Amino acid sequence: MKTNLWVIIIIVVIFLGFMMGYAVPPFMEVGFGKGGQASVEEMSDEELKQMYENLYKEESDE
Amino acid sequence: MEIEVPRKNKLWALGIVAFFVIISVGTFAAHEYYVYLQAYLWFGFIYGMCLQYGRFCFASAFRDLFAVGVPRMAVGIMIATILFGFTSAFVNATGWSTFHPAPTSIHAAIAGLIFGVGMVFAGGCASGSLYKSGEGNGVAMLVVLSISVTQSSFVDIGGWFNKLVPKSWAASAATKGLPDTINVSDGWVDQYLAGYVWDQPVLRVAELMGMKTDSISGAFLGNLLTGVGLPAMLILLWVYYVWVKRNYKKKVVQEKGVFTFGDHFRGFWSMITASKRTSIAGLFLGVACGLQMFVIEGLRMKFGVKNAGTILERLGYDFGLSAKGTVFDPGYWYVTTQEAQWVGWLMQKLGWNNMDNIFFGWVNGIPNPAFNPADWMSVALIGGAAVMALLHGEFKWKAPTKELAIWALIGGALMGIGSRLALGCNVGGFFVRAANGDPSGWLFGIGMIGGAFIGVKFFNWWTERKMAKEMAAFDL
Repeated sequence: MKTNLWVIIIIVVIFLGFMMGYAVPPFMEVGFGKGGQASVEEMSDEELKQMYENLYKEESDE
Repeated sequence: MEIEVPRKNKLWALGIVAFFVIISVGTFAAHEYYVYLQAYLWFGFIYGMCLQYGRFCFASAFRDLFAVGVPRMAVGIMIATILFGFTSAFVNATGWSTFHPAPTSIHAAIAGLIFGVGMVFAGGCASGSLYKSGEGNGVAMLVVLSISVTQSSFVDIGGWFNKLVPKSWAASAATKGLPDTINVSDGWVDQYLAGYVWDQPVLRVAELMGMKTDSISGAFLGNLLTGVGLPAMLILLWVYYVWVKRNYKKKVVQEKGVFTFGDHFRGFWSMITASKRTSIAGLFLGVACGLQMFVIEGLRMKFGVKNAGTILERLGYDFGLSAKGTVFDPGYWYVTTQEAQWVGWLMQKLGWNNMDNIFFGWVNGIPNPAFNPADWMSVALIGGAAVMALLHGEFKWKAPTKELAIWALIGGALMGIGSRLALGCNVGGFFVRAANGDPSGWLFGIGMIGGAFIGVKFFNWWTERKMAKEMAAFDL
């Protein structure tokens, strides 16, 4: 039972490590304890709104 | 002593893990955006393992406390809340927490009260029912179904129920500038949210004390020490004073003949350490919850998004996105909202137009459950619990009896209503909020404890009445 549990824990840790590998670099770039922007910029609310308005527009045009 | 687990159990456990591995690898091969959904999946899996290991159930905790005076689980939950508070404080201090505080007012306590009664009736809280489903418990599965269906229906009720909306709520809701597609004047919950809840203050303890949450002093002194440690310690002292002190004092007096002030500390400490298994589970839950916030925020920066709706749209799955292009994407552990979503999606497919309400149409959407990040978390949570149960020889299919099924449906319905009124359940409405120094979490918690007390008293009365009837019939 213990061996199986350890195998499963190792698999979970591998996936967590993989995701941390994705998540940590943007933090390193921006720094902790302060705001900032990652290399890929987040879209502003206005830009997102515009994008979705256009999305539906394109669909209705088709 | 090592438990002898059948080979079949081990194979099933490894099979479940293999299934999640294949899903993760396969979807990553399709597109790297799926890493975002995988983060939900693997954290859900960890939550399931921890919940099952610690038998972490709020309903059991307060039922045991009020019905038989056993405080172990309730103490474990408070310890877990403090431990989660530590990891949350770290994440909050970095300024990259995904946590959003909820509006604070009496509605949270009322919702908690309804939820608390429901969880005692059902025999499991929202998260407890999920992990027990992973153990093969049919009653818990019915509870999950009842919570899901009730929430999905409750958020869309209108018609006659509009008459129950106070005029002030209707007037306030109309000023919120919601689009016509939402039709805010039709729907009790819509007007409750836009006309009442959104007008309540959204604060954390640090901000109440004039500190910033994303500063070290605000995160640790404001939110953790004052917002988490203090109320949790008050509850622990209350539990010690009411349920532990008397028996402990009796034991010490029998052994030493005298009870000193220092014995209170030793008694209090023995109460804390008695709930070792729940506390260990709580420690891992706390670390995982904090880590999930960190990972999700990192992935949002990496992919340049604010919400998973953008990722789903980029992947070509734009069905069921809200009018703002969003889906439910809390960035941390949540249970009930995604349960409402999958039923909402199904209802919509069956012809129920439920995208004209705030809950689905404006905020959370109803994405296909196969691509809903929060649903990945819940499914994996059940899987994680099943793996632990299988490896500990605790997995067993249990069909509900007729009586238990009725209680499960009633309790689940009450929990569904309570969850939607509070915008969260015992996890999203209490555990996460309380650990992040959100006063609305503690209000929900106080209501939930009160509700559990009422539920236990009602059950005692019901059982005694039933037994009296049976005894009377026996006498005849």
